[in-house]
Amino acid sequence: MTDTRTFSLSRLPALATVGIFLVVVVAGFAIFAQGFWTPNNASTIVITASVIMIASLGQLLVVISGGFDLSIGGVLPLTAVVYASLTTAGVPMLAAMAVCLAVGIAVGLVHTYFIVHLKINPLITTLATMSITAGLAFTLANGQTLTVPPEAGILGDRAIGTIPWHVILMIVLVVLMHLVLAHTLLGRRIYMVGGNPEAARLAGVRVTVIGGSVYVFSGFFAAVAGIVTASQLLAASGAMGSTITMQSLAAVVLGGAALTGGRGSVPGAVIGVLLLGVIANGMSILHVPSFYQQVVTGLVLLAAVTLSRLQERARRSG
Amino acid sequence: MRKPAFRLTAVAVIAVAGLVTAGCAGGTTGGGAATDSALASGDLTGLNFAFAIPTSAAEVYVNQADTFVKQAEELGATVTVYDNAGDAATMLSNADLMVAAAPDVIIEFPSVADATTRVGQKFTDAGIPCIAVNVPVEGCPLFNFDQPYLSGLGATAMAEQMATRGWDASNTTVVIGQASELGASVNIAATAFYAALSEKVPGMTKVSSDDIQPTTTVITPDQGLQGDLGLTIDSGYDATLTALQTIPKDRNVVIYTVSDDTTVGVLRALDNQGRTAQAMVSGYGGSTDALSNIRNGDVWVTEQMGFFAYWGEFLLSMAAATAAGADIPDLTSPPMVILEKDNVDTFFEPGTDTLTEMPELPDSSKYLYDTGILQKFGNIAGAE
Amino acid sequence: MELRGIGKRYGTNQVLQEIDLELVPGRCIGLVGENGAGKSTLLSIISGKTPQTQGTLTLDGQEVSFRSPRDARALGIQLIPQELAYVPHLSVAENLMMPNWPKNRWGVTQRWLRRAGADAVARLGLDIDVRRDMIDLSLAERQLVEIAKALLGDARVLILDEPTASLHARETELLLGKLRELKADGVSLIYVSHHLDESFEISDEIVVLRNGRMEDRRETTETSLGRTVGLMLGGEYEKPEATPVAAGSPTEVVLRLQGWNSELQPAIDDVSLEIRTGEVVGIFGLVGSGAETVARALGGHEKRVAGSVFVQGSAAEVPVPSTPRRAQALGIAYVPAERKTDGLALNQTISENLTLMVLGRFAGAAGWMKGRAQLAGAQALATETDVRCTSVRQDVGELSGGNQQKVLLASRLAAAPPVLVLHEPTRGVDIGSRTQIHQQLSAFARQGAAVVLVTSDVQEAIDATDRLIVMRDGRVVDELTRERKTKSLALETAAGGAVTHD
Repeated sequence: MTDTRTFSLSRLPALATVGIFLVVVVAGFAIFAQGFWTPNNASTIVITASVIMIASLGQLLVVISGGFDLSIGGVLPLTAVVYASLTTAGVPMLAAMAVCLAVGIAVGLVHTYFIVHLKINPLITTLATMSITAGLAFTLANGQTLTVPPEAGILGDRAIGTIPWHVILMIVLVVLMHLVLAHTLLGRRIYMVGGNPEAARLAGVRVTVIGGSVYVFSGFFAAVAGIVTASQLLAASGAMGSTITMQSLAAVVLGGAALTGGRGSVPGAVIGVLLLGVIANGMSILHVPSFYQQVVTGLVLLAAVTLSRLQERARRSG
Repeated sequence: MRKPAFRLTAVAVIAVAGLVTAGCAGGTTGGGAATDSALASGDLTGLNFAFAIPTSAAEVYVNQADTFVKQAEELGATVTVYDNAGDAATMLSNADLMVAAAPDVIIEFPSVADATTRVGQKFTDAGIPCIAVNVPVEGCPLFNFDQPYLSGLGATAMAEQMATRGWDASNTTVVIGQASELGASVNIAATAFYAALSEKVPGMTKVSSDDIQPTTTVITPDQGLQGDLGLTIDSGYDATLTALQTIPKDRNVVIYTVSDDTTVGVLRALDNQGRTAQAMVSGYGGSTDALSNIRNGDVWVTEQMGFFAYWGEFLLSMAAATAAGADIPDLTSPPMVILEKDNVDTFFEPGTDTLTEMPELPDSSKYLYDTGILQKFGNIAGAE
Repeated sequence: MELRGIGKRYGTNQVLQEIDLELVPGRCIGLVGENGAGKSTLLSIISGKTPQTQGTLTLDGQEVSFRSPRDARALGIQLIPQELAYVPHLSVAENLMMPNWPKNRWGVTQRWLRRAGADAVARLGLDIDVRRDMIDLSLAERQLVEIAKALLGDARVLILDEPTASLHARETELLLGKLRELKADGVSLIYVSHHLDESFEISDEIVVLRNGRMEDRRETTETSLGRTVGLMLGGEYEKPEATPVAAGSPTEVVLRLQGWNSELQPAIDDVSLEIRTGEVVGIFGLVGSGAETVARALGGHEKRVAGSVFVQGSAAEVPVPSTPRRAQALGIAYVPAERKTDGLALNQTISENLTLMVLGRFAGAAGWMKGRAQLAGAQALATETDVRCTSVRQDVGELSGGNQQKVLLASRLAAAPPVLVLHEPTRGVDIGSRTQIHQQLSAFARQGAAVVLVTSDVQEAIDATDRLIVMRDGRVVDELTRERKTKSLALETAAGGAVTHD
């Protein structure tokens, strides 16, 4: 397989470093944390990581294109609440899912309009829409916690063997997005637009279309994450997903994406999500108080970006 | 030219914003004190209350405020509700707005624990009587659960259930879930529960509530763990999934939480790990989910109930007593009870979450009967 | 100031060795060398940016070591870098006074700033309103403001790194004039430039660096331009063929511009041109002449240009392309002037940048990329245009300026456009790459394409073109061919001199 994206010389070392770090962390926990190295715990990590992974896919696309999307933390509860309301009202599950996805895509289209056409800063735009969507979620749920009928929670409940459907869905989406990013025209153009939008425009790339599409993708994935959350928990409220924005950003950055655009990959994001999940899980098993866990997560993030910066510097001057 | 014009615009924008804010806050002003005679009859005509709720983002607070407003208005008082929006800054600015509106009594339900000193000062300086709800505010009498008392009741009930099933320290691990965002005044419910339970369950190492710090994770090896389960469904779910990995499959699990949303997440996690048959869960609050689970299930077996949603009428009584200058104790508590399968229907209509009657108030709070307000609602024992 | 045996080693890589120099008040050293010869390293050692690993620096007979550029500045050593460092949204006055804004009780007073700034600008004989924001000035004006700023710091040694890279002939003359005055005032200068004629004009001594060694050091009067170029390039220098005139002259009109007008600065006024296959047409003009507007508009980079375009083979005339995509539809490929901001994505691979315009060629059904074919295609392009890299999977940002420019050019050539428009294609490019690029343009034209080369570099305008159009004040003032195509006539015409030949 000749793949200029994931196996390029300059990109591999950074990704490999984080990967090695993940292996070390896993090995460390496996040795010192009893109950960590079990198939059951592995599945726990994957189950809790699947929502973050799905949301991170959207975040990754946006970050590669040179922007970022804070609104995930609002779209997730909004779609979860919409899903709960519709299924409770007797709307068929698939129709309810379609409506939720449409909501996510609509938010993405709004972003496209403001960010790509009116050239408003993505930070401001998505901050605003995060507030709007989260507010709508609370309004729609009337500040309450809505329940999801058990028959609408099959994504969370049904499993093939021991693997829940939502995990399979997550894996399918991960593989699909990897193929899109690394092996299609669209993927190449997203990297190029993120690398230098003006150069891409002058070379005839439809920068507005490419730059806008990533927000639509991101809205879509946030909606999927919302549906999965509601199915997993059989409940939905506006207070859900308050940490998903920062977690998804942290994960893609850990995985080698640069907030300046043009860098990042799906395998990297997977490693980033797993690293965050493993650290949280392992420390809980070691009974480290939650306050320290936050500190450690922050330190790991800082260490990872510092390392990648040092590597880049070494490459440039060498 | 450009810069003066800009400044002018900025001033105008700020002025308009200020007016809008003031307009929203100043909905009701004026009013006078009710007379003592009116008080006894439960007539609150002309009284004006300000009620700050912690956040409109959670079902319980909104319900509570709605009840309060509805009941106050039935009795002729006016109420302005403020939303502390879950953060300290909003809470402080709301305190200023409430002081400026000069109501007869301020009811402050703080959004953030332990950031209330300044708020209390503002009320004291303005000389407006105040009532703190759930979280202490300096200078204001507190209306709250008597946490150690209620947790003691909860531990007794849970200990009995454990005894029935033959669970004791040798085969059971107890997990108490705190919510780190809430601070000590709420999390003491969890530690007090554990302390009381350790007194009653055979074989458990006795622990006092003070020995369990917020950063404690292992209380007694094998027997007792503390975790941060948070306040939301997803935080309860994720944290429980992980916690279960450290408890061997052959042990029974008792999980205590301080919020019903968290408990919903805990149940889902137990279900996911296939451990519902060996688990008992205690919730806190008495939500719809809690009632139906206690009636129909075998996992969620006890519920600490302080009739939170009905605090409106007690706060109203307390506010009326305050306005009338009555002597208010430092802590006033609502009726408190542990809901179990066999007593749910004595307080609620069978199969629903419609309240029939609350149990009697604890002794320290009996003065609330004297305002004549509780009698108007006819939903509490002892108010005939 | 004296330098003795200065060297610099990065790891095992000796980038500079045994440099001896004396900086004497009132004298100017012209420092020349190809890109990568060690000029930048030497400058950063002198200006305190990086410490040397061998040798000593002495100032007034005392040994000095700089820990930071600030130390060097304190001793009167000022470097004016090629990439200017200023605060874009502060006024000229504020930028000028930046290191030492005077403060009183109320902070900085605007009136004082304005007065002091105006003084500083006047001292250099410039006509710039110091209240304007830095970002609103032209590149040339920004450069001059930076020099004014350096002079404010009582510079004893002034180092200029490619000061005229973005200046046009008139400003260059102005700048050199100012530098001569400074020399007369006893300032010691180091002048670094690819424009050897400038170096010869201003300096008293020419120092040639090659591969980190001092190749030659001689009084300016005792050496010659040709000899210096030979020394810079070592053995590999071959003189570009004098005038690459088209062999058989195939003159089909491929593109005709008709009545182009624009109010935008720099404005253009009724520009009409014909571009024929098989030739390299130069458009030369000083800053503000409108040549750059024509270039940008041809590339679809300029929205508000009125006028029309005839394309070979189509009957109807079409409006000026308003987007890059429209320009491409007309068969025009555009190489923008600003390589780093408009041309390349520096953090992407050489392969991606090379194949950007022809990605579709390597895509199968449903946009599925044939990765191997793309790499092979990129490799072929890189070889063809002599891009020097270890692998086409390297990031473009890791290449030298000249190689980056080759990548940019190759990415356009890959699409094999009927018309290729280049805007300042060799700015800041070493002479070797520059010659190669000119040869490639010529070869491309011989294959039957039309090449439009818009430049403000008169040497390039003469060397690399078959036919030279000179613009001034938004109009085409003359067309120079064959024996009339000389440097002096081009400069004179562009600057407003005599045209009347018919």
